[in-house]
Amino acid sequence: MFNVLEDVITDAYGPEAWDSLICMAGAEGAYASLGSYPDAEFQALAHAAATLTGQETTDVLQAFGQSALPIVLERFPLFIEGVGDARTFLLSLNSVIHPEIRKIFAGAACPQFQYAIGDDIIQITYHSRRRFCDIAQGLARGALSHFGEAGDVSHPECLHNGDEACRLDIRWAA
Amino acid sequence: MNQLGKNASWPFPESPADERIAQLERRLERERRARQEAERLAESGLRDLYVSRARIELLNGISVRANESDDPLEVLRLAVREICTTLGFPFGNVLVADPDVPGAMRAAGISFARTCDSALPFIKASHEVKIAAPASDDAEQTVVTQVPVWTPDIVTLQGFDRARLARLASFKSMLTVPVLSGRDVEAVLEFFSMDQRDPELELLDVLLQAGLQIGGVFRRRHHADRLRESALTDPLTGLPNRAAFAQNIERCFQQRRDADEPAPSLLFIDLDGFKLVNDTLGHQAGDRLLVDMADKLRTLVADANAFEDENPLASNVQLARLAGDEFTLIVDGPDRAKLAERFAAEIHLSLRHPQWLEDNPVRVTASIGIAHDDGHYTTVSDMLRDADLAMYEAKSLGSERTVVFDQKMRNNVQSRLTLVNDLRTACENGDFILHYQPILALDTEQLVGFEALVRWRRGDVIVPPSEFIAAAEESGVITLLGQWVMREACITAVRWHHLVPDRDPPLRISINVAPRQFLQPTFVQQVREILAETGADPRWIGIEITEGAAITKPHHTARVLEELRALNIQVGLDDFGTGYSSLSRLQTIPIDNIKIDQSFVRTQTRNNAQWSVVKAMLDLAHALQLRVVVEGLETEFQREELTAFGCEYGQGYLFSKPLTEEDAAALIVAPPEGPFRQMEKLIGG
Repeated sequence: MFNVLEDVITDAYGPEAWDSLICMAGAEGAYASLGSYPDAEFQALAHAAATLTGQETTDVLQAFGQSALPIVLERFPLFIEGVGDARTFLLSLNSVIHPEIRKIFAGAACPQFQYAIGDDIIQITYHSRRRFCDIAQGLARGALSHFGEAGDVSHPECLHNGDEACRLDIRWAA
Repeated sequence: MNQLGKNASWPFPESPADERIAQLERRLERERRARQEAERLAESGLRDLYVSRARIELLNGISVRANESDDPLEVLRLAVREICTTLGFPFGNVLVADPDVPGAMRAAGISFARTCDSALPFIKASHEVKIAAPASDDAEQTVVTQVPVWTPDIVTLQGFDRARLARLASFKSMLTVPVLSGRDVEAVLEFFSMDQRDPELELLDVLLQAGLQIGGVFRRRHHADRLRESALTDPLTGLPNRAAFAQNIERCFQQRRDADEPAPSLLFIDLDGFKLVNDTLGHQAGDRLLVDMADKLRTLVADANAFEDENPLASNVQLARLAGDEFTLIVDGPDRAKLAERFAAEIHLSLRHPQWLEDNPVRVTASIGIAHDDGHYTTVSDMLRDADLAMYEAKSLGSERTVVFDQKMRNNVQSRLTLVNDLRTACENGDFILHYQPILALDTEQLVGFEALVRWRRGDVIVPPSEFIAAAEESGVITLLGQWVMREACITAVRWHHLVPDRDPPLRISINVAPRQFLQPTFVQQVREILAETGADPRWIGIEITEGAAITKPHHTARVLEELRALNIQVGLDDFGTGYSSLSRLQTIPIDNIKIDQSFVRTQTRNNAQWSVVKAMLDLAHALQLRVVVEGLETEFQREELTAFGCEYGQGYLFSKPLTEEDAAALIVAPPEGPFRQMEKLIGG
């Protein structure tokens, strides 16, 4: 995740921006893709990015998720092999993508998603130990744009707001 | 050119600062790409490692369980769960071969699911799925094969009835894995997924191996089933055997008892004259007969519904072959009594026509005993005993009879049991006595010996042998009794010898030996021991066996008789003419004399005599250089005629009834001076 963030920031604002973020967050800054680093460090980087860009951390995390998706898919083309639409992609999180992530990143804590499926909507409910639901919302948006589909992703229930679980509603435009 | 090395001076001039920054940035970018490439290689290597290790663990886990377990379904349950979790299938389902339809498969009720609610209809349908045999048109052709099959798009799969529900569940692809035992597909594991990526060939190979491992459990199970089945099947007729019958009747009995209902009715069926077929036409013919009988019974049971009017499916009829020519039927259900008797009638009917065995028309009949439960039976064995007794009763009434066990028979059984118990006690206490009937040389009317005849002193009553010998033979008490008789007769022989030590030839006491005693492997040894123990000379006793004992085991008989004769004991064939022994067999039995049964003599009167059979027996015996004793002499006419025919010896009421030892001794010491007639009156009177 740290490497993807580096890519996102570097792509958007150049390498200096990444340097500034690291300095500002007081972070270690040397991240290997297979390494595992404290969540707090990621939160600090996100917070620094919010400060530097004058946005809310929530918005930064959502934006990160959305920008991260194409980068992730480029790095791990297996995730969408044979997948032609966002719906299939989102429904394959438990069965394809998380198992693939676990193959590479031993012990990766991937959440288990529960789906409710309608004709033009998918509701995804989950408990994330790490509570990165804003990133998930951004990733879902990224999926829609990656497959060129029009729709909206809302986040009506959230652990942060005292709900029992986080729920993402992905609704396709009619 | 100078070698590159330390302190070598860089030949190019230094660049300006901004150019150097640009250079460093390019270098940084190259480093970043190299790091990303290294990370990509490491990730890919880790993934490969993970995948192959997971597959090995998966196959290993299934193999270990498959090798340990003898329950294929349990292993399938484990396999479908492990394959789903390891390979990320949201749903896996197991089909097994349909035992009723060769080639067809049906859901085993085993599955693993980690799906959303919209998949529930698909899961439910999968739990009930049936796949027709490949030969039929609507078969789901691709799934039942010898290798794993990947179907990336199940919606287009021909004959896949669950396509609509699969779409609802968002399942797009299917992977089927056959479980093979040899070439037979025992089961199919089907896995469903949204993932349409083609699986790697190595994965398919791992799953093929897993299927083969599970197939091994099926193979072992079939093997065990076959062993169990053959342990419970009679190899000749293919019917359930005695062990199967015992299990079935015990189970039925307990089920009925638990439900507080009467036990099933029981038929014991025994063929009449089967032994004769075996003896005369050979064992092959006997086996044919049994196989035909089994087929007849099978057909009757199969047709049972046809003559069961009210409750065609309510009855449960089980057939078995117990041993030899004994068959049984267990008839359960509400109409069991009526049905059991109906079966008996049908069995007799089915045996009405003769069948051809070795070009001979043979008509066998059956004797059938039936036991119905009126709720009083507490154990199966009592019921079996009663059905058996009823069958023997049927047999004793002649062929083609059915007897239902009833209260009268139960009373008889009770008194027979008491009789046998009392006999046993009598043997232990020696509550028997021997009486001795004189045997005379017919020409000289000289006393030559006696026949020892056993009596039972039961309290104050002297019981004749006709009332207890049969029970003693059936219960086995006869061997104990026989030994007592032989010892007692030898003791008497010794005592008499002391009365007339110089008598030449010495008096001989004939001792009857029952078949069961005679057929004991230790019989000759017993005789030797009794002779040694009592001090009797072998020439003082004779041993008589019946024709029945002689033909049961002809080789054993011949050997034993030779051994007895080698001891100087005379041996004779008792009750000659009443048994099975053919005249031709007589010459193969090493004996000294025959005793013509009294039934041939008693009926002969001066006005109505038919001696032809007796004469033939005498001619034959003399041709074989055997001496002949007749028994049952009652009249002067019989004595005169038989003496004239050249018969050597005789015994009967004409001369004397059986005497007590004391009376016989008196006769030995002081034989009559005149004709030897009704001595018991002279001595006893």
